[in-house]
Amino acid sequence: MKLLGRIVIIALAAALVIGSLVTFVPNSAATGFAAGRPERQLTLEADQPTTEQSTSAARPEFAGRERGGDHHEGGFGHIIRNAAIMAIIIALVAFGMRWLRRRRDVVWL
Amino acid sequence: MQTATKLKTGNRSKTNYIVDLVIGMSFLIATAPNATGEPIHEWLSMGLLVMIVVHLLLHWQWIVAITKKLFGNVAWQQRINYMLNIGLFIDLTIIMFTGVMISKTVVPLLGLELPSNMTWRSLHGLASNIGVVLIGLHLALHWDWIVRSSKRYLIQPIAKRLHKPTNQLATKEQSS
Ligand code: HEM
Ligand code: HEM
Repeated sequence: MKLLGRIVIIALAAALVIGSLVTFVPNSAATGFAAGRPERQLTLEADQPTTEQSTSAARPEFAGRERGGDHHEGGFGHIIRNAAIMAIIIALVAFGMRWLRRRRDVVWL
Repeated sequence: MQTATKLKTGNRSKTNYIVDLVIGMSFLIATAPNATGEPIHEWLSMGLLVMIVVHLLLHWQWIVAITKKLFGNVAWQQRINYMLNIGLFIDLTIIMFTGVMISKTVVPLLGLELPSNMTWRSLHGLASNIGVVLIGLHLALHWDWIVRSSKRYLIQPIAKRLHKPTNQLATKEQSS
């Protein structure tokens, strides 16, 4: 029972985040969501940003960001890249903190 | 971190270590959907969702303790930690929700069709990039624990296994 209660609390917290997200995202998806399921969006709206997305005719609903489109995100190189970013952050923060603590400049650390 | 150290017994921190290892790896793999293919990306991430709930349940005492003390006197490092953990929770929730909104495998399997929209798609990518940074920070703040646990649960068991034959040999030689 205790476990169930905790899971419910986590679910409620997630629902709060999702609720805010859906209200704050000013988009046809968000409004269309409340009014029922809208048609699939097959073309970009005039006011939608197209700067970093091509308007590939192949899968217009993804604005060309489909696999085979003009984005090359998410291959194996991506795992290496992200692991490297994490390693750099860890090196900077973990060892930076250790260094600061040793110098006793930052007392609260 | 002090609370965590006080609470954990040997087994508990081994469980934590295994869970953390699994979510860490799964997250990294999940950031590369084109490496795994889209269906694996979705199922892996659904598994990750469950494991993150387990991760939170394992740290429940910490969450309760720090929430109670947040506005009182609690070490600044714990406060930063707490803010970061809230940020992580929000970010991971956004990733999971937007992931479901653009799902092509899991949600259609349930017989649902959601409106396809670029916003969820780009939010999904953005939130996952932010997640890389936040989880990097999260790991950095627990780096000492990670190093300690890796020695205890990963390196020592492997080293023990490798060295056992030589130890036995040595004792035999001594006794003869
Ligand atoms: C939704 C995302 C996450 C949230 C909200 C979260 C929250 C927490 C909390 C509350 C703690 C315990 C308190 C503390 O000492 O800071 C913790 C500890 C920890 N988390 Fe996470 N976490 C998340 C994701 C992750 C991920 C993806 C990893 C990757 C491996 C991870 C690794 C760790 C480690 C290594 C610890 C220290 C374990 C210990 O001291 O026993 N966490 N996390
Ligand atoms: C921690 C969890 C997750 C991470 C880190 C993650 C990360 C990513 C990334 C980086 C992309 C590429 C985005 C881009 O190119 O702009 C992506 C695409 C995608 N994700 Fe996720 N995701 C997660 C969870 C989920 C979940 C739970 C689902 C659905 C149930 C999902 C469904 C998708 C789909 C359908 C795509 C598009 C794939 C394609 O077009 O080939 N993701 N995800």
